[in-house]
Amino acid sequence: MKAKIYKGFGRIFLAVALFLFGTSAILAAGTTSGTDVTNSVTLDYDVGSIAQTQLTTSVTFEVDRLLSIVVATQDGDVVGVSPGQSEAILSFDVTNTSNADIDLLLGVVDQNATAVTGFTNAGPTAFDGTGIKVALDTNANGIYESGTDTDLTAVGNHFSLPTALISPDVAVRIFIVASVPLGAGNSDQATYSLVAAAASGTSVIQADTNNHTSPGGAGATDVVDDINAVQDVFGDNVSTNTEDGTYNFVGDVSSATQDTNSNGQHSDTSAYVVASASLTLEKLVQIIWDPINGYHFNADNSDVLSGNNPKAIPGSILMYVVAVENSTGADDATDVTIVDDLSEDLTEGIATTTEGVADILKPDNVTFATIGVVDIPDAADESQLTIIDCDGTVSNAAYGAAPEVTQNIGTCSADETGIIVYFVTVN
Amino acid sequence: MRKIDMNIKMAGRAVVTLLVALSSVQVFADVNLNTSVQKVQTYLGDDGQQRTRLVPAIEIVPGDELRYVIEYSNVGDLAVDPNSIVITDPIPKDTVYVSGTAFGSGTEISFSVDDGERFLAEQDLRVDKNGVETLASPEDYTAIQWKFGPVLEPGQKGHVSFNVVLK
Repeated sequence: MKAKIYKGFGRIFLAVALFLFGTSAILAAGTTSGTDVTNSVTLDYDVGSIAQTQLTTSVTFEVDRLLSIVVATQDGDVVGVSPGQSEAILSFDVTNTSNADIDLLLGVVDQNATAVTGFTNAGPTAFDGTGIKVALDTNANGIYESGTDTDLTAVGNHFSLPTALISPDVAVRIFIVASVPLGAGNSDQATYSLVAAAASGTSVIQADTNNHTSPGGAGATDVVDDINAVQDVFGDNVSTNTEDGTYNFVGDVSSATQDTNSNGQHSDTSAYVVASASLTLEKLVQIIWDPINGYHFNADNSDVLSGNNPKAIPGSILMYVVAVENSTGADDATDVTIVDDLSEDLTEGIATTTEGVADILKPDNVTFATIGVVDIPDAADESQLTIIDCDGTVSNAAYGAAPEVTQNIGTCSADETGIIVYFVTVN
Repeated sequence: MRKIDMNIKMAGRAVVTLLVALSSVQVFADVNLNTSVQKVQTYLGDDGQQRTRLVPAIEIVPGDELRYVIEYSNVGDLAVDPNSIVITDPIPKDTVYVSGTAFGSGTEISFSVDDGERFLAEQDLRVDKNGVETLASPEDYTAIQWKFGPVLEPGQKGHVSFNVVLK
């Protein structure tokens, strides 16, 4: 088998990196189109025990042009991305398995959240990548480098590699480059097929001489072979998976219809999946005390009601609890900061001199509608903020400038909850 | 001269003129040699079984199997000696011989792995692979030879054939 060679933009990179990216072996392109294959025969014989002049004859045919391409994603699984990320990359190798130099056209098929065979898919909610580009790995290092790698020329909606004929058995690494919208949610998926077609310059080769057409192409005929001329044969195989799409390079329209045999193109599919933080924020208030009814809770700081129902009247003490929870399977949320604007009718902490630190009576826990039961730490007191970071660390902090409470509770991983607790006095 | 097929390049043909003693009649020993190529096409039969058939050599691309047929005929007036017809055919460049396809009725078939220096039966062909002498495989064959045993009388003809795969 011939060596598979990766190349960058132009022939100068042809010598680069044998099996550099560890792709699977692909059938070698074989005898170059246009090659004359000659069978020469000799026949010796005797007549009357006399050796006669040797006879010779031969037959020659010219090898036709087999047009064949293989597209293979190099992403072993879905590519994790974050909301707002720019230049998220899907990687593909496109190999010329033809027996001739060819140009390539490349199309991208938006497959929404279609599952990719063999991948750890998410979805079913799809997101649309923005600013989609197709780029050639110019320096053949397998890594997309903006400014170094070459963004391919758009021909309408698709892309061309017109200035560098791809030699037989040569593979080029192609990137789909997209940005992820800020609004993309955790586990949202964006699936894309990359379709490559044999071309002459920037024009797709629409048909072969064996009654096959490229999607949208015309001119298919079953031409009687001229044994001494090079004719085209679409020899590409059906793409591996049902989700691998096609592209009508004539009409410049993508299609999710599965690629087929002998249509002059081939495709493979990969996907982005958003691994995002998914935070739930809840806030509740509990009236702890008022000057008329006294405490709501018993003196043992339990959550057992005392029977008193204090009201929010001037001088009353309220307890606010703000909780943040990151959902199951979500990515880490870093630098989580809670900012709570207080009403101007409230004063941080307890201004009254009638109630001391030791006298505050509060519940052991509170119950949020979504987050559920959250414990109130013993350290919570009326004189300062009380914080439970998402990693469970309990601390206190002085109040900031009224009327705003601001507190960083660090990094919240999946299933972790952080809270802040503070007390205010009704003016 | 007989007109030959346009696809055939005939480099030479022997026309031997023997002057028969005591006669003014010229007697010719004249043998024709032609070769042609066809494509071996695989198709599904009505019974769903995969079958092959010979079709014109259309759109020949790497991986295709081809059959070469070499035809010979005695178009002269004299018989060709028994065991004298030897047809030699180097395996065409860029092709590989398909095992078991060499055919020739009434012939003894042998193969070469050294560009025709020696022709031996398949079981006697040896090649050096990484310093180890091993039985040659069809990919190692470089030429085929047929030896026709019987007399080829005037008007008689025969053919031999073999298959290759285009690399």
